[in-house]
Amino acid sequence: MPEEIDIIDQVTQSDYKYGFVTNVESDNAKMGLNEDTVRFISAKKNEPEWMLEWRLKAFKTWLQMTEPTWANVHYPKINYQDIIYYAAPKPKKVLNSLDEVDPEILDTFKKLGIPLEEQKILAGVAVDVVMDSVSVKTTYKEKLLELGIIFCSISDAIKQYPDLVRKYMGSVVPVRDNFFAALNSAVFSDGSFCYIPKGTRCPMELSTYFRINEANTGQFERTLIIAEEGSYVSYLEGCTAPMRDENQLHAAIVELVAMDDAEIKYSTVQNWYPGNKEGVGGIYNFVTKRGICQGKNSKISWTQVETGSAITWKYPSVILKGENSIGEFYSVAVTNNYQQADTGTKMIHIGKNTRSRIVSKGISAGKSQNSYRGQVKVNANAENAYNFSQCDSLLIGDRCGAHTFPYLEISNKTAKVEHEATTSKIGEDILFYCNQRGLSTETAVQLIINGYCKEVFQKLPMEFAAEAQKLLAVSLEGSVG
Amino acid sequence: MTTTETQNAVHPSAQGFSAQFGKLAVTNTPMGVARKPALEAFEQLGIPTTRHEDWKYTNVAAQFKNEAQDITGTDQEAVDASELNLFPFLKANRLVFVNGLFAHALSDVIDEVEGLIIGNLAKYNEQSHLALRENYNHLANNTKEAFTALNTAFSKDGAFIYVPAKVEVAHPIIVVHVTTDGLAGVINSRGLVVTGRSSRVEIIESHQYLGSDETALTNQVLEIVVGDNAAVNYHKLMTDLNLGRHIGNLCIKQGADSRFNTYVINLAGQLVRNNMVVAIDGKNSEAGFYGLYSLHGSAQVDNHVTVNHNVPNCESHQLFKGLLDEKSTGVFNGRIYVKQDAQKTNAFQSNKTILLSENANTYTKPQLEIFADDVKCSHGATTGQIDKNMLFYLRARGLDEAQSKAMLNQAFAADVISKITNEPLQEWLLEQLNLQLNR
Repeated sequence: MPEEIDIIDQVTQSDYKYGFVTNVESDNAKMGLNEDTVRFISAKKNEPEWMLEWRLKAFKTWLQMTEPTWANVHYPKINYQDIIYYAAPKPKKVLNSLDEVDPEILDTFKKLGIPLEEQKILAGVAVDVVMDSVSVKTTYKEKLLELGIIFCSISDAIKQYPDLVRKYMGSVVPVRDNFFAALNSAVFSDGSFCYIPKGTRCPMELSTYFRINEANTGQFERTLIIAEEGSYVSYLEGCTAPMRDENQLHAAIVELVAMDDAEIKYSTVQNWYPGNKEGVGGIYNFVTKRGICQGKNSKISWTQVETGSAITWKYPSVILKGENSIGEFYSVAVTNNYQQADTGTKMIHIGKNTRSRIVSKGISAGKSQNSYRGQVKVNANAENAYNFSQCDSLLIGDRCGAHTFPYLEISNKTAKVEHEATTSKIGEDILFYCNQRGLSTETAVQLIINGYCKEVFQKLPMEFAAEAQKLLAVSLEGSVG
Repeated sequence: MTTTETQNAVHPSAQGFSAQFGKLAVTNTPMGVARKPALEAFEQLGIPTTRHEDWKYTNVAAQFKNEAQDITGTDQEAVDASELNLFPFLKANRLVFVNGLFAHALSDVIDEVEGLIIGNLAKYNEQSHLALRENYNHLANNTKEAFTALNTAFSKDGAFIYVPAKVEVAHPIIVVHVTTDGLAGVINSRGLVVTGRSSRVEIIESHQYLGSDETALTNQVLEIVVGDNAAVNYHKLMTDLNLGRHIGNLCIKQGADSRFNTYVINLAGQLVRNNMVVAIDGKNSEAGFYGLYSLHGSAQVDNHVTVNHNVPNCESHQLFKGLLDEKSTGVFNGRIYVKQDAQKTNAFQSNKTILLSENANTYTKPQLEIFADDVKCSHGATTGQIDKNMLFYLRARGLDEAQSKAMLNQAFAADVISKITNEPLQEWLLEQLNLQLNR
């Protein structure tokens, strides 16, 4: 079909719409990584001695580790000495209102379609803006503090709440966990910290916009969320990044801790620069996200919409330790051009009556490779564990690949584990049906893809659901089966 | 490997075999010329450990601690036919191999058609038979699979079946591999099946271990070439394996319009690993892999299936079911690989396991790797236990708990056995399963 080719061309030729550079002067670390870099970062952030020790220990651990090669992604070897590990916007005076924020930064968010002033007014969203690693502005902080909720940057938390940070940091993702986790532990620049006290329901969606801005700076975010007994929090993370030719490294860590009866809902929309249509540039996204359902009846839910990054290596996981705890993973991963994604989840059932649910929707187009890699592990003591997994892949165009690598390891007879996966393209009969009813092929494909991803979109908070659909439309504009 | 030093170093786990190789008479025959390169490949690879992704759940290296030697062909003294299960209820051709060598006296070939060969490799290797010369060691992957390389270096004999074009073999061919008691080491046995255009053959292979104690480990490689429009049914029965340990490598190549089905039934054995790799190289072909493993004790069965869809318009089915009791372990690793040009592929895969005991383990890894867009591929995997409602239903009708469970388990397992088209064999297997479940 010539029409198909047209539309495929359109898709493969559409440029990254959010590519631009904000000219904010940076206070950078020297290029390269050694003990001094770690000390520099720690000093820059006025960290206490124990934090520096922790970082240095992590750095030593990292030196002994090797980069993992098992993922189904291919990229040139990263020179870890060729990266600037810290870049911060020039320190400003204490900010009281939006007027004092650098207009360039505000402009950036306007281009992204997320004006901060609107965000403030809109639907009770507190935004902790992370612009190149340092929190520039935190809103709604006071309002949250009244309820005892701590929502601040991790650097502030290290200074103000050292006991909490020392207790939980590295408890879910240990330094030794993997190569990128160790790297992050040594050089993490900033991130968010969130603590919900006992019995508190966070009244608004907490949200952070990450944005990589300085050329050649890897961004090493670290997020820690603790939900005490009977609390609830919904956390939103969204990302866009400017256009760059060199690959930028991003190795983040997110740790979630849910106590008895607590619930954490973590949603991500990720749209970093995927590289141009020849596969040049783009972000390397090597992220370790893990939550632990520490207490009884606790629940952790990951929802992600992944459309960006040249390479994604990301497995948001849940350790189901508390009895009756629940883990959920809902994902839409879209790859186009030369993007590569190896993403999925791990559900580790340890406690009795634990349940998990995995819904993964992969869409590959262009010359991209999209892999689902997941593990469901039921320990011998996890009586009555239940897992349901569904991993569907949709192929658009005949030069892309879709792969599924699930690992099911069951050691308890009362466990019930169900896994199913399908791979297909959009059926010609379905397209024909839509065409027949007056929809163009383009509209029909959009309709079908939206329907295909609906189960995941429905899990997103309202604000994100709209953005996610917009992103999908941009990534796969007028796609064809 | 970057330096020549590491390239030349013999892997420590291969050294025992390396030292033995010198004593082998290497002749200028298809089997002979393949030995040296295979040994070299094996010396590089060594015995895989659990750090090797394909051997993650099966610790095979532990089996080789004291037994790193080839003992193919030892202990040939007469095995009495009465000790063997020769499937008397089937009218069939019979080939019997004892510890990896052909046992002429126990074998019996009834189908005689011009050109048809139902015989042993050693004999036709000496004659350098054309079909053998053209196909031997062509499908086996000696550079990646350590046990295949080991086999190519050391195997001496095995079944050789050549079915010329348009020949339909009237009776099944039963191939019995016997391993005698009280041995320590590895027995390497080989096999080659070549079928011509529009031919038809049914092969029933049975692995039998005499004596109930652990004895030698058997390492088998079987290559099957399915001609255009040919139909091959291959059964691998491990019902009389006792506490045997077996590693099998099955490599298949299919021509256009061909049908190939394999049925792997495990009702016994201590440690069994089956690698099955099919390359579907001709259009409009179908491949089926059906497996059942019902285990108890500390038995472990590990099935690895790779289906390579290389051309368009083909179909493949995989169905593996496991019943795991006591401390047994079941492993399933299925891989569907669809090449970019293999449009209109339909590939399906399913692995279902019932855990009957607290201590049983199951590891499932169903993989899809799809590079073509116009395909229908799916896989499913479930693990669970016997449905309480069903159990209650049967108990309410007067069956005791053991009977009810056995009945439900049998129904679960019969799903696989019912795929077997040879009816007497199907009935016999159901009987064996019944005996095993009601033991």
